[in-house]
Amino acid sequence: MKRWKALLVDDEEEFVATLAERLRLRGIVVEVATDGQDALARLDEVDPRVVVLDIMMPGVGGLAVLRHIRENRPDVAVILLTGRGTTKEGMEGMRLGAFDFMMKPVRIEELIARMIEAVEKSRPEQPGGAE
Amino acid sequence: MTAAEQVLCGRIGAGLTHELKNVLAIVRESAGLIQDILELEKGVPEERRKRVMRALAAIETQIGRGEEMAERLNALAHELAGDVSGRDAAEVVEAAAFLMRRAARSKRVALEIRPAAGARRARVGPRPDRLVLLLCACLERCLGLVPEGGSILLACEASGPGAVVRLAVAGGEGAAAGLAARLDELQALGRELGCTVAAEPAPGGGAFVVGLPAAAAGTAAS
Repeated sequence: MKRWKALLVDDEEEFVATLAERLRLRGIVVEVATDGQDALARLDEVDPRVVVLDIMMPGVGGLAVLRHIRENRPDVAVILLTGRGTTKEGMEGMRLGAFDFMMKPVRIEELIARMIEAVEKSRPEQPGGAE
Repeated sequence: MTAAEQVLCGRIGAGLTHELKNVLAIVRESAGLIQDILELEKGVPEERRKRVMRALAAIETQIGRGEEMAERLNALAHELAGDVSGRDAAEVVEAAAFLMRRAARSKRVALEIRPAAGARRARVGPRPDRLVLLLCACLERCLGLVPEGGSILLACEASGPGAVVRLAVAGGEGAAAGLAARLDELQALGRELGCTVAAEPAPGGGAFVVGLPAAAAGTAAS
Protein backbone atom coordinates (compact mmCIF):
# COMPACT_ATOMS: atom_id res chain seq x y z
CA MET A 1 0.00 0.00 0.00
CA LYS A 2 1.23 3.47 -0.85
CA ARG A 3 1.62 5.71 2.19
CA TRP A 4 0.85 8.97 0.51
CA LYS A 5 -2.67 10.23 -0.02
CA ALA A 6 -4.40 11.55 -3.08
CA LEU A 7 -7.33 13.93 -3.19
CA LEU A 8 -9.72 13.63 -6.15
CA VAL A 9 -11.80 16.72 -6.88
CA ASP A 10 -14.64 16.59 -9.41
CA ASP A 11 -18.26 17.70 -9.33
CA GLU A 12 -19.27 14.55 -11.25
CA GLU A 13 -19.96 12.48 -8.14
CA GLU A 14 -20.45 9.17 -9.94
CA PHE A 15 -17.17 9.63 -11.80
CA VAL A 16 -15.08 10.60 -8.81
CA ALA A 17 -16.56 7.89 -6.54
CA THR A 18 -15.90 5.14 -9.10
CA LEU A 19 -12.41 6.40 -9.89
CA ALA A 20 -11.62 6.55 -6.17
CA GLU A 21 -12.79 2.97 -5.70
CA ARG A 22 -10.59 1.75 -8.55
CA LEU A 23 -7.57 3.60 -7.15
CA ARG A 24 -8.20 2.12 -3.70
CA LEU A 25 -8.28 -1.36 -5.25
CA ARG A 26 -4.76 -0.58 -6.47
CA GLY A 27 -3.56 0.38 -3.01
CA ILE A 28 -3.75 4.16 -3.29
CA VAL A 29 -5.19 6.04 -0.34
CA VAL A 30 -7.78 8.38 -1.80
CA GLU A 31 -10.12 11.03 -0.46
CA VAL A 32 -12.81 12.71 -2.52
CA ALA A 33 -14.14 16.26 -2.76
CA THR A 34 -17.04 17.14 -5.04
CA ASP A 35 -16.39 20.84 -5.53
CA GLY A 36 -13.62 23.38 -5.25
CA GLN A 37 -14.76 24.82 -1.96
CA ASP A 38 -14.91 21.37 -0.37
CA ALA A 39 -11.41 20.65 -1.70
CA LEU A 40 -9.96 23.81 -0.17
CA ALA A 41 -11.70 23.19 3.14
CA ARG A 42 -10.31 19.64 3.38
CA LEU A 43 -6.84 20.23 2.02
CA ASP A 44 -5.03 20.43 5.35
CA GLU A 45 -7.12 17.70 6.95
CA VAL A 46 -6.47 15.21 4.13
CA ASP A 47 -2.88 16.41 3.61
CA PRO A 48 -2.55 14.85 0.14
CA ARG A 49 0.70 14.54 -1.78
CA VAL A 50 -1.19 14.82 -5.05
CA VAL A 51 -4.49 16.42 -6.02
CA VAL A 52 -6.31 15.28 -9.16
CA LEU A 53 -8.42 18.26 -10.02
CA ASP A 54 -11.19 18.83 -12.56
CA ILE A 55 -10.90 22.26 -14.16
CA MET A 56 -14.55 22.90 -14.95
CA MET A 57 -16.53 22.96 -11.71
CA PRO A 58 -19.35 25.21 -10.56
CA GLY A 59 -18.45 27.73 -7.86
CA VAL A 60 -14.75 27.67 -7.08
CA GLY A 61 -13.22 26.34 -10.31
CA GLY A 62 -10.21 24.11 -10.71
CA LEU A 63 -7.81 26.89 -11.64
CA ALA A 64 -8.76 28.87 -8.50
CA VAL A 65 -8.12 25.77 -6.38
CA LEU A 66 -4.80 25.31 -8.15
CA ARG A 67 -3.76 28.91 -7.39
CA HIS A 68 -4.62 28.43 -3.71
CA ILE A 69 -2.62 25.19 -3.51
CA ARG A 70 0.39 26.73 -5.20
CA GLU A 71 0.35 29.69 -2.80
CA ASN A 72 -0.35 27.76 0.39
CA ARG A 73 0.81 24.18 -0.18
CA PRO A 74 3.67 24.21 -2.65
CA ASP A 75 4.55 20.65 -1.56
CA VAL A 76 1.32 19.29 -3.05
CA ALA A 77 1.41 18.28 -6.73
CA VAL A 78 -1.65 18.97 -8.87
CA ILE A 79 -2.78 17.03 -11.92
CA LEU A 80 -5.55 18.73 -13.86
CA LEU A 81 -8.35 16.92 -15.63
CA THR A 82 -10.20 18.58 -18.44
CA GLY A 83 -13.07 17.48 -20.62
CA ARG A 84 -12.69 20.31 -23.07
CA GLY A 85 -11.57 19.84 -26.63
CA THR A 86 -9.11 22.69 -26.45
CA THR A 87 -6.02 22.59 -24.29
CA LYS A 88 -6.18 26.29 -23.39
CA GLU A 89 -7.24 25.72 -19.78
CA GLY A 90 -4.72 22.93 -19.36
CA MET A 91 -1.92 25.15 -20.63
CA GLU A 92 -3.05 27.92 -18.31
CA GLY A 93 -2.94 25.41 -15.46
CA MET A 94 0.60 24.40 -16.38
CA ARG A 95 1.58 28.06 -16.35
CA LEU A 96 0.10 28.35 -12.86
CA GLY A 97 2.20 25.43 -11.66
CA ALA A 98 0.21 22.25 -12.27
CA PHE A 99 2.37 19.15 -12.60
CA ASP A 100 0.43 17.96 -15.64
CA PHE A 101 -2.97 17.92 -17.28
CA MET A 102 -4.94 15.05 -18.74
CA MET A 103 -8.01 14.89 -20.95
CA LYS A 104 -11.11 13.03 -19.83
CA PRO A 105 -11.87 10.20 -20.04
CA VAL A 106 -8.52 9.11 -18.60
CA ARG A 107 -7.07 5.60 -18.56
CA ILE A 108 -6.46 4.60 -14.97
CA GLU A 109 -2.99 3.16 -15.61
CA GLU A 110 -1.91 6.47 -17.18
CA LEU A 111 -3.39 8.45 -14.31
CA ILE A 112 -1.63 6.31 -11.70
CA ALA A 113 1.67 6.64 -13.57
CA ARG A 114 1.33 10.43 -13.58
CA MET A 115 0.33 10.48 -9.91
CA ILE A 116 3.38 8.45 -8.89
CA GLU A 117 5.63 10.63 -11.04
CA ALA A 118 4.09 13.78 -9.52
CA VAL A 119 4.62 12.50 -5.98
CA GLU A 120 8.21 11.47 -6.67
CA LYS A 121 9.09 14.82 -8.21
CA SER A 122 7.13 17.09 -5.88
CA ARG A 123 8.79 16.33 -2.55
CA PRO A 124 11.33 13.79 -1.31
CA GLU A 125 9.65 10.89 0.50
CA GLN A 126 9.93 11.19 4.27
CA PRO A 127 11.76 8.41 6.12
CA GLY A 128 9.34 5.51 6.56
CA GLY A 129 6.90 7.03 4.11
CA ALA A 130 7.81 5.00 1.06
CA GLU A 131 5.30 2.57 -0.36
CA MET B 1 -27.97 32.42 -38.85
CA THR B 2 -26.50 35.61 -37.44
CA ALA B 3 -22.95 35.75 -36.09
CA ALA B 4 -24.30 36.09 -32.54
CA GLU B 5 -26.53 33.05 -32.98
CA GLN B 6 -23.61 31.09 -34.34
CA VAL B 7 -21.47 31.98 -31.32
CA LEU B 8 -24.34 30.94 -29.04
CA CYS B 9 -24.71 27.60 -30.86
CA GLY B 10 -20.96 27.09 -30.53
CA ARG B 11 -21.04 27.74 -26.79
CA ILE B 12 -24.01 25.41 -26.28
CA GLY B 13 -22.31 22.74 -28.37
CA ALA B 14 -19.07 23.12 -26.42
CA GLY B 15 -20.93 22.72 -23.13
CA LEU B 16 -22.82 19.66 -24.32
CA THR B 17 -19.74 17.92 -25.67
CA HIS B 18 -17.99 18.66 -22.38
CA GLU B 19 -20.85 16.88 -20.64
CA LEU B 20 -20.62 14.04 -23.13
CA LYS B 21 -16.99 13.54 -22.12
CA ASN B 22 -18.06 13.32 -18.50
CA VAL B 23 -20.62 10.67 -19.47
CA LEU B 24 -17.92 8.69 -21.29
CA ALA B 25 -15.59 9.06 -18.31
CA ILE B 26 -18.22 7.62 -15.96
CA VAL B 27 -18.95 4.72 -18.34
CA ARG B 28 -15.22 3.98 -18.66
CA GLU B 29 -14.63 4.03 -14.90
CA SER B 30 -17.73 1.91 -14.22
CA ALA B 31 -16.70 -0.68 -16.81
CA GLY B 32 -13.20 -0.61 -15.37
CA LEU B 33 -14.56 -1.21 -11.88
CA ILE B 34 -16.54 -4.24 -13.12
CA GLN B 35 -13.31 -5.59 -14.60
CA ASP B 36 -11.42 -4.91 -11.37
CA ILE B 37 -14.04 -6.75 -9.31
CA LEU B 38 -14.14 -9.63 -11.79
CA GLU B 39 -10.38 -10.03 -11.53
CA LEU B 40 -10.64 -10.14 -7.73
CA GLU B 41 -13.49 -12.67 -7.81
CA LYS B 42 -12.01 -16.17 -7.90
CA GLY B 43 -15.17 -18.27 -8.15
CA VAL B 44 -16.49 -17.04 -11.52
CA PRO B 45 -16.60 -19.81 -14.18
CA GLU B 46 -14.11 -19.19 -16.97
CA GLU B 47 -16.73 -19.11 -19.73
CA ARG B 48 -18.78 -16.50 -17.86
CA ARG B 49 -15.65 -14.48 -17.15
CA LYS B 50 -14.80 -14.47 -20.85
CA ARG B 51 -18.30 -13.29 -21.78
CA VAL B 52 -18.09 -10.40 -19.36
CA MET B 53 -14.62 -9.48 -20.59
CA ARG B 54 -15.87 -9.49 -24.20
CA ALA B 55 -18.71 -7.19 -23.22
CA LEU B 56 -16.29 -4.88 -21.39
CA ALA B 57 -14.01 -4.81 -24.43
CA ALA B 58 -16.99 -3.82 -26.59
CA ILE B 59 -17.82 -1.01 -24.15
CA GLU B 60 -14.23 0.23 -24.29
CA THR B 61 -14.30 0.20 -28.10
CA GLN B 62 -17.49 2.25 -28.13
CA ILE B 63 -16.01 4.69 -25.60
CA GLY B 64 -13.13 5.17 -28.02
CA ARG B 65 -15.58 5.98 -30.82
CA GLY B 66 -17.48 8.31 -28.56
CA GLU B 67 -14.27 10.03 -27.50
CA GLU B 68 -13.34 10.80 -31.07
CA MET B 69 -16.82 12.11 -31.87
CA ALA B 70 -16.91 14.26 -28.75
CA GLU B 71 -13.42 15.58 -29.46
CA ARG B 72 -14.24 16.56 -33.04
CA LEU B 73 -17.58 18.09 -32.16
CA ASN B 74 -16.07 19.95 -29.21
CA ALA B 75 -13.33 21.42 -31.41
CA LEU B 76 -15.91 22.48 -34.00
CA ALA B 77 -18.12 24.01 -31.30
CA HIS B 78 -15.22 26.03 -29.91
CA GLU B 79 -14.45 27.26 -33.41
CA LEU B 80 -18.08 28.23 -33.96
CA ALA B 81 -17.95 30.09 -30.67
CA GLY B 82 -15.01 32.08 -32.01
CA ASP B 83 -12.54 30.70 -29.44
CA VAL B 84 -10.10 29.61 -32.14
CA SER B 85 -8.66 31.68 -34.96
CA GLY B 86 -6.30 29.26 -36.66
CA ARG B 87 -5.81 25.55 -37.14
CA ASP B 88 -3.41 23.23 -38.87
CA ALA B 89 -4.66 22.66 -42.45
CA ALA B 90 -4.29 18.90 -42.11
CA GLU B 91 -6.56 18.98 -39.06
CA VAL B 92 -9.15 20.96 -41.01
CA VAL B 93 -9.13 18.25 -43.69
CA GLU B 94 -9.37 15.48 -41.07
CA ALA B 95 -12.28 17.23 -39.36
CA ALA B 96 -14.21 17.58 -42.62
CA ALA B 97 -13.58 13.94 -43.50
CA PHE B 98 -14.70 12.88 -40.04
CA LEU B 99 -17.94 14.84 -40.28
CA MET B 100 -18.72 13.37 -43.71
CA ARG B 101 -17.63 9.84 -42.88
CA ARG B 102 -21.12 8.62 -42.09
CA ALA B 103 -22.58 10.03 -45.31
CA ALA B 104 -19.76 8.37 -47.24
CA ARG B 105 -20.26 5.06 -45.46
CA SER B 106 -23.98 5.06 -46.28
CA LYS B 107 -22.97 5.24 -49.95
CA ARG B 108 -20.10 2.77 -49.48
CA VAL B 109 -17.63 5.40 -50.58
CA ALA B 110 -14.18 5.38 -49.01
CA LEU B 111 -12.76 8.70 -47.82
CA GLU B 112 -9.00 8.49 -47.94
CA ILE B 113 -6.64 11.14 -46.65
CA ARG B 114 -3.22 11.13 -48.27
CA PRO B 115 -0.48 12.23 -45.88
CA ALA B 116 0.86 15.66 -46.78
CA ALA B 117 4.00 15.65 -48.87
CA GLY B 118 6.90 17.43 -47.21
CA ALA B 119 7.30 18.42 -43.61
CA ARG B 120 6.01 21.98 -43.82
CA ARG B 121 2.64 22.53 -42.20
CA ALA B 122 0.28 25.41 -42.76
CA ARG B 123 -1.91 27.13 -40.23
CA VAL B 124 -5.14 28.29 -41.84
CA GLY B 125 -7.91 30.59 -40.70
CA PRO B 126 -9.27 32.94 -39.61
CA ARG B 127 -12.39 30.79 -39.12
CA PRO B 128 -11.31 27.15 -39.26
CA ASP B 129 -14.87 25.97 -38.57
CA ARG B 130 -16.08 27.67 -41.74
CA LEU B 131 -13.19 26.14 -43.68
CA VAL B 132 -14.25 22.72 -42.38
CA LEU B 133 -17.81 23.37 -43.54
CA LEU B 134 -16.58 24.52 -46.97
CA LEU B 135 -14.67 21.26 -47.37
CA CYS B 136 -17.77 19.37 -46.17
CA ALA B 137 -19.77 21.11 -48.92
CA CYS B 138 -17.17 20.05 -51.49
CA LEU B 139 -17.17 16.51 -50.13
CA GLU B 140 -20.96 16.37 -50.29
CA ARG B 141 -20.73 17.38 -53.95
CA CYS B 142 -18.08 14.71 -54.52
CA LEU B 143 -20.33 12.09 -52.91
CA GLY B 144 -22.99 12.98 -55.45
CA LEU B 145 -20.54 12.30 -58.28
CA VAL B 146 -18.73 9.18 -57.21
CA PRO B 147 -20.43 5.81 -57.77
CA GLU B 148 -21.23 3.43 -54.92
CA GLY B 149 -18.11 1.58 -53.91
CA GLY B 150 -15.86 4.35 -55.22
CA SER B 151 -13.48 6.55 -53.33
CA ILE B 152 -12.61 10.17 -52.66
CA LEU B 153 -9.00 11.04 -52.03
CA LEU B 154 -8.17 14.12 -49.96
CA ALA B 155 -4.69 15.57 -50.10
CA CYS B 156 -3.46 18.70 -48.41
CA GLU B 157 -0.21 20.56 -48.73
CA ALA B 158 1.20 23.92 -47.75
CA SER B 159 1.06 26.48 -50.53
CA GLY B 160 2.49 29.94 -50.01
CA PRO B 161 1.34 31.12 -46.58
CA GLY B 162 -1.82 28.97 -46.76
CA ALA B 163 -2.65 25.50 -48.02
CA VAL B 164 -4.22 23.74 -50.97
CA VAL B 165 -6.60 20.81 -50.59
CA ARG B 166 -7.42 18.46 -53.45
CA LEU B 167 -10.56 16.35 -53.29
CA ALA B 168 -10.21 13.83 -56.09
CA VAL B 169 -13.01 11.57 -57.29
CA ALA B 170 -12.76 8.57 -59.57
CA GLY B 171 -16.20 8.09 -61.04
CA GLY B 172 -16.31 8.08 -64.80
CA GLU B 173 -17.01 10.78 -67.33
CA GLY B 174 -20.17 11.91 -65.54
CA ALA B 175 -18.07 12.88 -62.55
CA ALA B 176 -15.77 15.03 -64.66
CA ALA B 177 -18.72 16.99 -66.03
CA GLY B 178 -20.44 17.14 -62.64
CA LEU B 179 -17.50 18.90 -61.01
CA ALA B 180 -18.12 22.01 -63.08
CA ALA B 181 -21.88 22.06 -62.45
CA ARG B 182 -22.95 24.60 -59.80
CA LEU B 183 -19.28 25.30 -59.12
CA ASP B 184 -20.23 28.95 -58.70
CA GLU B 185 -22.11 28.09 -55.49
CA LEU B 186 -18.99 26.59 -53.92
CA GLN B 187 -16.89 29.48 -55.18
CA ALA B 188 -19.27 32.02 -53.63
CA LEU B 189 -19.08 30.17 -50.32
CA GLY B 190 -15.30 30.11 -50.60
CA ARG B 191 -14.99 33.81 -51.46
CA GLU B 192 -16.67 34.74 -48.16
CA LEU B 193 -13.81 32.97 -46.40
CA GLY B 194 -10.96 34.16 -48.60
CA CYS B 195 -10.76 30.74 -50.26
CA THR B 196 -10.51 29.75 -53.91
CA VAL B 197 -12.43 26.80 -55.32
CA ALA B 198 -11.63 25.35 -58.74
CA ALA B 199 -12.64 22.22 -60.64
CA GLU B 200 -10.07 20.14 -62.48
CA PRO B 201 -11.85 17.58 -64.66
CA ALA B 202 -9.75 14.63 -65.75
CA PRO B 203 -10.44 11.46 -67.71
CA GLY B 204 -12.53 9.22 -65.47
CA GLY B 205 -12.97 11.72 -62.68
CA GLY B 206 -11.33 14.90 -61.54
CA ALA B 207 -10.89 17.01 -58.45
CA PHE B 208 -11.98 20.07 -56.56
CA VAL B 209 -8.99 22.20 -55.65
CA VAL B 210 -9.58 24.43 -52.65
CA GLY B 211 -7.13 27.12 -51.57
CA LEU B 212 -7.24 27.87 -47.84
CA PRO B 213 -5.93 31.20 -46.52
CA ALA B 214 -3.30 31.43 -43.81
CA ALA B 215 -4.36 32.27 -40.27
CA ALA B 216 -3.30 35.69 -39.08
CA ALA B 217 0.26 35.67 -37.76
CA GLY B 218 0.53 34.97 -34.06
CA THR B 219 -2.78 33.13 -33.64
CA ALA B 220 -2.38 30.80 -30.71
CA ALA B 221 -2.79 27.08 -30.88
CA SER B 222 -5.80 25.91 -28.97
